[in-house]
Amino acid sequence: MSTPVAPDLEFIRSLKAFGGENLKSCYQCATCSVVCPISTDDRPFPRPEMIHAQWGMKEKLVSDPLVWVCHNCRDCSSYCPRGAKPGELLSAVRDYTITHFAWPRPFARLFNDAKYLPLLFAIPAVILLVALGIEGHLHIPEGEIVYSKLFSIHILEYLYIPVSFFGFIAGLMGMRRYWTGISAHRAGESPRRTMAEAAVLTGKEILSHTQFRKCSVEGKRYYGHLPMLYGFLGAFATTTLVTLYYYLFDRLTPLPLYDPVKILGNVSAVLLLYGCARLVARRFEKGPEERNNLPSSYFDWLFLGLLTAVAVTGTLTELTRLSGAAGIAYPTYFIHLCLIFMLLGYMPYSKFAHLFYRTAAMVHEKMYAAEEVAVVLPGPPEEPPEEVEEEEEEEEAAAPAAAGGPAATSPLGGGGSPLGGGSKIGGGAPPSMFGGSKIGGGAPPSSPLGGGSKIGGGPPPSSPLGGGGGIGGTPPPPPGGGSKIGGSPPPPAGGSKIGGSPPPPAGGSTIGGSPPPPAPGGSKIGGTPPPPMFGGVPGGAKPPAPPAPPAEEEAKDE
Amino acid sequence: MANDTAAEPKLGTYICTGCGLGDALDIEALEKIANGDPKSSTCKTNAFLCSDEGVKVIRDDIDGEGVNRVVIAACSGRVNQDVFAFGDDVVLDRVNLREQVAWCHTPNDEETDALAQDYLRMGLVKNSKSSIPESSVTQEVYDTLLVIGAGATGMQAAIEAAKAGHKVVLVEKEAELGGYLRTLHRQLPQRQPYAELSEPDLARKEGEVKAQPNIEVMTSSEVVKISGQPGLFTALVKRDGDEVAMQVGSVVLATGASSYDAAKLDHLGFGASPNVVSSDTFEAMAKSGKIVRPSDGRPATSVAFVLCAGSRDPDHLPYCSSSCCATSLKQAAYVREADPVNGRAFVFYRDMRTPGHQEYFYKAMQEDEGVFLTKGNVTEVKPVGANQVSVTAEETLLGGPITVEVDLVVLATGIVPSTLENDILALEYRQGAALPDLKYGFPDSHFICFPYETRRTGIFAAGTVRAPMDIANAYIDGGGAAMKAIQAIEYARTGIAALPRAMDPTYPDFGLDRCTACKRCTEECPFGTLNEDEKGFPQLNINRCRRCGICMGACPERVINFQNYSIDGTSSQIRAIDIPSEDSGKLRFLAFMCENDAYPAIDMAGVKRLQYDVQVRFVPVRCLGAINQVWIADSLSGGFDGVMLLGCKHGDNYQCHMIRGSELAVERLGKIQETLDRLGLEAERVQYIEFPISEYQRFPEIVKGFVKHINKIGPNPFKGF
Repeated sequence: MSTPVAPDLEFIRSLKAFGGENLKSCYQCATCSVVCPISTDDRPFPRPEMIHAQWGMKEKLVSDPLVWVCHNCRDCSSYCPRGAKPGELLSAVRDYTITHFAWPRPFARLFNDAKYLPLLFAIPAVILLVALGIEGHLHIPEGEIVYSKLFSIHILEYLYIPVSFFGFIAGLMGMRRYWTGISAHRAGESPRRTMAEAAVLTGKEILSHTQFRKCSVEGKRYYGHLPMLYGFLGAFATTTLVTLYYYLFDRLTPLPLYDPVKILGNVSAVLLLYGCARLVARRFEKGPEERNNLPSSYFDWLFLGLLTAVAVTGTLTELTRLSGAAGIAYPTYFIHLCLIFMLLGYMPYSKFAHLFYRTAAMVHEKMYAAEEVAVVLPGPPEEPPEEVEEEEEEEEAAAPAAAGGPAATSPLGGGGSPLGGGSKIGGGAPPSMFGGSKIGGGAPPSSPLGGGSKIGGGPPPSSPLGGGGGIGGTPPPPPGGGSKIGGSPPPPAGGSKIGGSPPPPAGGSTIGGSPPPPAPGGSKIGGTPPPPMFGGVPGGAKPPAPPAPPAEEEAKDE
Repeated sequence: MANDTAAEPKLGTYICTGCGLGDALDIEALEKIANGDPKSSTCKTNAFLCSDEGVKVIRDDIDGEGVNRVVIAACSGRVNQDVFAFGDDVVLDRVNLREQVAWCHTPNDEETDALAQDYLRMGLVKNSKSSIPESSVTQEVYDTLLVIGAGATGMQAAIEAAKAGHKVVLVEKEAELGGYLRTLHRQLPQRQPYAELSEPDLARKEGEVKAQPNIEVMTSSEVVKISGQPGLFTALVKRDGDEVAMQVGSVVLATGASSYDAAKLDHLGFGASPNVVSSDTFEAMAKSGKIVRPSDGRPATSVAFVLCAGSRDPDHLPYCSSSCCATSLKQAAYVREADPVNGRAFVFYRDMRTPGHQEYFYKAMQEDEGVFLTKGNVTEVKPVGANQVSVTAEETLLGGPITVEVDLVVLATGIVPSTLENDILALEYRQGAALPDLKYGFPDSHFICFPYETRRTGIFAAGTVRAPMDIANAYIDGGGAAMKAIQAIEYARTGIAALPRAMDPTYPDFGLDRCTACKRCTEECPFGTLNEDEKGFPQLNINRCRRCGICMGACPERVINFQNYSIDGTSSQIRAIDIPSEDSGKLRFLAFMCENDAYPAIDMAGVKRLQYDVQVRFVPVRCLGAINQVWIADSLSGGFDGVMLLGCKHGDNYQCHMIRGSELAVERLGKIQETLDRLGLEAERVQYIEFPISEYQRFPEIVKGFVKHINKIGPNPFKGF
């Protein structure tokens, strides 16, 4: 079935404006897909995204689930021989996506052009001034500096709770549209995890920044983004606690410096400032070559600048108060409040919206992804190998998925990986009786989780999902050895992971009820219907590779 | 015509003992041979013959003692040619004792010495059988060049030749100059950074042609006959019904190519919708300023280009036409230029082939947001409604089949050489009026070694009639062919051979009194040198001759001979080789080797000190096609145990410098082998061995294999008769 293509020239121009100006240079060599940590053999990334962008295929890209899984580590841009900068293109697609799914959509336009910035600032400023006028506080208050003399806590609540609420709801609206889009993209695939499971894993990943740490070219960004995240969360918690202090203990700010909440606030401010400073500095850093530099569009700066400004004015608000300079302190506080209004109220339209989209993409990915993302990496040279090892284990515990199996047919490359076949992660499962996959296998049937695999261990064969396979489950043949993905379970107990094919005599397919391959071993994507665009090659019908030697990790999880 | 009246032959033999020769060989024995028969009037050895002092020894003998024949037994004749140069009045022969004896065989060995002695005897005999040729020049040659076709190539050829001081007659069939250039809207980028299309060169080139007083332009004219030979052609040109005869020295054929007929491409939708057009039609649309759908005349904003339309397709043109990729990119630029906002150009290519600077243009076009490039096989082109056409392609870069709906589909048709339609030159040659083609109808000869050379000496093909190319290359071709054409005139003026034996003053001498008019020579000459008179006897056109000796190899009456390369000369050399008796257990093999490839290859084997069987004796030949069968018969009856013919690859991708030499050798070998069979002599004793220059390292293996084979058969039973 041939796909009709009608390039959207306007879309291409928008992507160029958002920073993907070199997108047309790509000549599909797939170097990016080889170096990308989230690219897999059967799901190369971002090579297809590049040609979708070149051909102006907007619908494909805005609902591409992987675009937001990408953490912009820019390995692709560094290695691209043509200077097409796939990393920048993906960044542009994300920016475009925010605008595309924003609710209400016309409002989003105000955030793509610097000329609207005064207007964006004027909105909160006018509202706050009107509030001051109503209260009769249009002057610098006398005496000791207490900010509630300017804005009473009630005013702030009436104003900021709805603003935050609006930002959040509008963000969720966009997120919902996006979710619908990516779900359509994966129509026909069955989830491997429930949304709740995936959400828990995503939360862990966000808080630990595991994905970020894998970036090699942009490895340092991890050290900026993590403190920034915790600083922001801390500041948010401080604000909440201050409100609770007021209602529960009738305590008003300013709090003494030794107060735990004050300490939390100050530590958060330091973290936030530090994180912002690193990220801002990164944007000015010059690499050995032009392509190492991080290009920054107005859209990039809007959010980072706003957040930095909030951190700076917040800190200044405290410092000026302590120094007693009322003439400076109150205006600073006013500006700080304006900026907070912008940060929260405009959340769905600035890059802040990544909070929604990236989270959605990660949850979706964890629900559906057939394969563990990026375990083996050519990490940055300074990173000791042990660390990578740790990370791997951590990753395994957090997000089990799997390894190995036969070299799947690469949908783009028409057989094998575009640059050399073979599976990126692990080999086939061991042929031993205890064999199982790297993650799943080997647990005795008495394991509380059942059929051997750590997560999603298989229910008994009577599972409603049919023929021996629950989600991730295999009928537990003593002594175990269910394959997670691609791992060949020991004969005769192959089980298909999802979907209802009767257990083949040997070998199990991972997803979908494909007829069992002739030899022991599992097919990676079994009989998944080919995805609409990249389905030129029939699924994983290739005979599986011969089983690899037993994985070392076998006993790790026990 | 040999110079028999010249002074009494006086032979000087000079043996070099440098480069290890003195240490490896029995020099005294060699001197003895030099003083044997034919006897040298002087024989000298020198430890450094190619030094100034060494050369002076020879020079002094020539000047003082009247030595007029020189045999130098030293290094290969392929080296030191500038050092051992004693003028046209001296018959010089070089005996290769270094690369082919001392460096590749055991030193101070009886068999190595036997080899050296055989070679010296052969050299002496050859020298004694050679003579100084009389000049073949009979009349003053014509300086004018005839350039046929006034397109990019022809105009360039005319301009370059005129600048070099030659008169040029530029003949154009159309009423105006320009050819393909005249049809262009824009031309591919011609200067840095090769990203911007340029205005067509037509006006500029036309101006240059008209500004040259040396160029006589004849438009609306056609060549109706060419006769004669390089330097002395007579061309008949028809203009407005009148035939004008002119004398020209050489000819440049620059008649270009035509587009492949799009009507044959119905599988790509041609004919199914008026909105499927050929590149030429699209170019004309762009030139007229109206890129529109022929169906309704509305602007065509989306256009699909289908590349390799009929090219690289066994059912149509099996070859790549080289310029259609870049032309389509250029036309994609027209689409974008016409509507920068909405213009969309889809380019479906098999392989984007943009050689040279065109690659930069390709990159520039890639950057255009409205140009969509994908590799793919176009499987269907069909009308959608009255005005749209859909194009479906498989195996695209987008991962699967895709379909686009466009206003216009442009088929990038390939090119067909103009000589396929008619012979154009109308040559009055025994072998036909047309230029022989090399492949696919392109009248080329050896495109790597000898570009522009056709198989008709003095007639040079250039531009797209020779091979598919773009305009930039056509200019280069035009200039190159003009230089070649001038060179051909100069060769004819001095009476020496053209490539590949450039500078050779010898030529074939036909003993017509014994000729039986069997016509083998006239038919087998790869260059159409010989015409026939009414009785069928060959008529030599000496300036067409490339001196390969294929006629000599063909002649059953053995009446064709060169002054220094003759039936008798080579037979005598073969007889000069000492054949050990059967009891000695030593065998002897003869290897005829092509001078152009096999000889340097074997020299290289020597330079690399590769050791091989010492029982082989080499006889260099001008071409394997120049081996007369009598030599093979002589060698077998003389007691040689086996004969090798070492020559170049023949067939489709031949490497033979003389085009058909090794092919003819193989053909003739088949006949001689039948004869051998009848005589009860094993046919395998004579073998053709393909031996390209690049495989010199294999040489010891090749010889070993052959010797092993002969050993199995046993020694030649005719030995000693």
